[in-house]
Amino acid sequence: MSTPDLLLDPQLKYWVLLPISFVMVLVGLLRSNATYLLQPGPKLEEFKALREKQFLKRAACFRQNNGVLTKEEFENRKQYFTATLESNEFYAIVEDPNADPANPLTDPGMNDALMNMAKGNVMNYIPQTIIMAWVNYFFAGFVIMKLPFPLTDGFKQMLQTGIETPDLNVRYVSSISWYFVNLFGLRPVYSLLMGDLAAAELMNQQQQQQALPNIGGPGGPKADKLFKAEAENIQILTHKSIFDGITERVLEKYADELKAL
Amino acid sequence: MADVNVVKNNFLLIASSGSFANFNPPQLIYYHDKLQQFLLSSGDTLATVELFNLYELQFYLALLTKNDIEAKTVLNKLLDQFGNNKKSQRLKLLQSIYLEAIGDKEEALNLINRNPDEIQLARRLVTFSRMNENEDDNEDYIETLNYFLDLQPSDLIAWSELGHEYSKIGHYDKAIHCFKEILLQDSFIYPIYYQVGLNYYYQFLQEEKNLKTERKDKLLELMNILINARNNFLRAIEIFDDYPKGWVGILTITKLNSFNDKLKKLSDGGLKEVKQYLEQNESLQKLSNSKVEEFVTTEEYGSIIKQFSK
Repeated sequence: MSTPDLLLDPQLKYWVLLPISFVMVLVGLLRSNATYLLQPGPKLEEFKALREKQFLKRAACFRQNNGVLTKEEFENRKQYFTATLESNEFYAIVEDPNADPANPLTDPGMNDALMNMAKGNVMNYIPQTIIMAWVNYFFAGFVIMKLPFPLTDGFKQMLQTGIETPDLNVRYVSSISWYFVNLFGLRPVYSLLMGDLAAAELMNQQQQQQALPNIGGPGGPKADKLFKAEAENIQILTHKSIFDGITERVLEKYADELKAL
Repeated sequence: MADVNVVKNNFLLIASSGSFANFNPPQLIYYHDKLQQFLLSSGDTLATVELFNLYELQFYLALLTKNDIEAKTVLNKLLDQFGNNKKSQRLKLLQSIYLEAIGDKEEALNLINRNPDEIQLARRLVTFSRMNENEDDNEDYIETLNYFLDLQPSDLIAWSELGHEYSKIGHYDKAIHCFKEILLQDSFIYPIYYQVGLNYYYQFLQEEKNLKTERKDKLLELMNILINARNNFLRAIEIFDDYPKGWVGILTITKLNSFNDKLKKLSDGGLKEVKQYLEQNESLQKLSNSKVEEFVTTEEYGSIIKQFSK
């Protein structure tokens, strides 16, 4: 029987390995709760913005489902939509074409969105930086555990960060590496502890928000571009009505029954 | 435990879909009693969000089953929990519905302040304009609906209401326009095809009544209206094979004997399209007759045919 490369003090387990894991789980839970509290409440959407989106949706529906119309109805609506989409009747904000382009950084809507993003990022980075500093300060260079299974050399970089021993068996794990393993691998533990319900609800909310295009929001396209594009799409539409030959279709479908009558 | 989850999900689905609005009275009473029992026995095990969603459902069911006092109790529970949230449209909506139900319409209206950003409440304002002593006078209501649809161009329920209102006062072309607007957004709602067909039929009746001479172009115009009506009924049938109203609609149109006789004269005169129309009518009449006999009860037939005898 070969002697092991290193003999680890069992106390390392109780005073380093478990504390790091425990602190990480705890901070993770705290963070997710704090993020939840920091989330902005639902904001009332301005009716004009909603009107703009709904009109665009209506135009898009016309483009997709115009088969339900007769030829005459189609022509009427086509004219109406191209004319209205090219006017500014349904714009939420009518911009003065002669005015200087607004500075996007002074836009309050933009600021809100940036603030929310910043909040999320801050909640992610600050706790992680603190824990990493803590691990680095107290347990720098610690080898804290030996994995119970063999690994190839490729894992050396991942598992032995912070200790300069090129010949040490890959199965030994350093403290800072254990921190990283925890950082990326604790997600299932969190979802187990918090229950999947909250996460599922967040997902639902996100999906609902995507139902209508994000017009005029930060990073989104401006309404006039979208309206113009839709108007062009409608202009080149060709019409095929579902009512063309519908009687023949139905009679053919029931041909057998008709013969029996 | 599994059973509790099934029952809970069932109730939550009813609450979120709003399908209780279409329940008939026995169903309402059944669900009202069941929900009451369920909340008593398993209310403690529910998550807060689910519990209050179910309270909201209980509020509606209580009002619909005329249990005003119970509705008030439930509303108070909701107000105790969320009452400090002055901005909540959902709470204001419930409060105003309760006030309306106990007959205090003025207070119910006052509660809804006219902030145009509060779309749900704006919708409710539209509903209030419907309450007119004289039922035939729906001018205000139509005007408000038009205004609302200018703000919310893809509110399907508002389009449908507007369609029905126009139909009531005989503006069938406008009614058809409104119903088509719904079909543009969802092209598989077969009852709406039926509504479109019905309104074409009404338009036919209206114009036939005003017909003074039997000129060829006038008759052809009327025939085209009937073809549109028939096509819409046929489309409803294409989507849902066993749709009683659709079959009755086709049967009614194909059985317009006096008008068909007039067309026959034209077809004898050599008009090809009229001849084709009459031939198709014959086959469709046979087919729809057998279908109606097959699965439309006499009672059902009577109630559907009433809609056609406007």
